[in-house]
Amino acid sequence: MDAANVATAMLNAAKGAAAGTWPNIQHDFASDLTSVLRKATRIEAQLAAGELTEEEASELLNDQRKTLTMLSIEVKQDEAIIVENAINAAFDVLWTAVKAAVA
Amino acid sequence: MPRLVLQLLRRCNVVALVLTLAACHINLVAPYDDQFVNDAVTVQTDFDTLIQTLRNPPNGTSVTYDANKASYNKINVDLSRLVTQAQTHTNNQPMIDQTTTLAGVVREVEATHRRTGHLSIAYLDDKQETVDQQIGIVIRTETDKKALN
Repeated sequence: MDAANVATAMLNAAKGAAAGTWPNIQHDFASDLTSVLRKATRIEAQLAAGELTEEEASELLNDQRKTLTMLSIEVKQDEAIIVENAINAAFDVLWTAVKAAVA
Repeated sequence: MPRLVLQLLRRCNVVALVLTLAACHINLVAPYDDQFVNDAVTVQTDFDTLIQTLRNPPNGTSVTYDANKASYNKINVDLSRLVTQAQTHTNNQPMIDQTTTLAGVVREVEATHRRTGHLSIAYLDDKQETVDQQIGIVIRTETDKKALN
């Protein structure tokens, strides 16, 4: 088994897995962020107009913060999946090299 | 030790290594769960039904907290089932964290309704839009697992 070649192949497989999977997600984080901002602006206006009590407005604004937290959790999970794919792709290359050496 | 035996042992070690490597795919994130997505849709359906009833009550329907307690109970059961479904998998902390946050946001509606006795139209509109967005994020985060694999 040529360790240097296998290492290069593993690295390339990992890079390929990371780059190849991200586009599969049909995300529009910008749209989610815009929506949060739009809601926050509306809540402020509704409070000023007396359509919401201060207590309701406070709760609703806090909900927007929680939406952003949920978005950040999504991003972290997706990054973990990409790392997982990259490691497993690299391992597949190693597995193939070892099998070839044994044969 | 005879050379043949040594060769055999070496061969066995290599085979063992090969078998170990074959089983070495790591799982950092729990697999996609279709039941979880169905449970999230159920939460959304029951929540939206309650909000719509409170916003535009049919004739003879009361919008007091007590009159809608059964709907809140149903939604609480839906939420518990959703969180439990997330907890059934290892390496699923992101979904557990998201659903716990979502459950808190939804349950605030009941707490506010019970405390104030009345929910304004503006509050109901904003809350529904927010909860629907959050359920959308939860479902998308789950389906990302499928899309990325």
